[in-house]
Amino acid sequence: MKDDVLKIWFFASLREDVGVGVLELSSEKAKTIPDLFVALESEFGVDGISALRADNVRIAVNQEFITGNCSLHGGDEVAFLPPVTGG
Amino acid sequence: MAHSIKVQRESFDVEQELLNLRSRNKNSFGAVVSFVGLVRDLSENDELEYLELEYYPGMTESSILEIVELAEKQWLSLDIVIIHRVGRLASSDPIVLVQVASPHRDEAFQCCEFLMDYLKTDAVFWKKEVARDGTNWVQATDQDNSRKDRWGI
Repeated sequence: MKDDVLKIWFFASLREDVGVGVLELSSEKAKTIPDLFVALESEFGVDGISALRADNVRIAVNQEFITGNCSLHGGDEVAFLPPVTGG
Repeated sequence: MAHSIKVQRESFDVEQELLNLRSRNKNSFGAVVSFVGLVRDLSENDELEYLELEYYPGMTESSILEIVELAEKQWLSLDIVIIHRVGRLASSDPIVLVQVASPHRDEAFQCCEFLMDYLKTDAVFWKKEVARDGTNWVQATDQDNSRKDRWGI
């Protein structure tokens, strides 16, 4: 994995909302979760990311759910997950 | 305590999994409960054409492992098999297999139900129903959530 790049995943309905499944961003553009939202807004527009801001959307960094903010580093994998259901 | 977790596109052979489970637990268990979940047509209007199951490789398996580890804390001496399918599935296709072996049937029945309740709400999968008149992302229902909550964990 390139060490100056963040890999951002959008799953299921969120992939359909933003129109892509995965996006690479320079880690310089997003050092925190709020930074990431700003970067994604310039990519997809305000409407484009409204779905990502929904209360029931969870964020995982390197495949662990996070709550609130966290710092991001090059090589990190960030994922936006809508509500899950299995079985 | 043993367990086996698989996420796969292909179907599964219940009898073969049972044989595997028996062969690695000779004489220690008196009961095996096998549960097979099938794709059900839940769409309200048009007939379901297919169900598309999506997952997050790595995180999905971890989410199932967390559920299995919760079960292993509740009931001792278990062997658990979970096989969950992904990809495109048709109505009535098998979608999930849960097998629980234990010394006595009570634990096996209870644990199997526990695992299914948690898979419904906590396992990292997404299901899209595709019908001729549109698509719908399935969500866990209030009933699913209350079934999970009744375990009080």
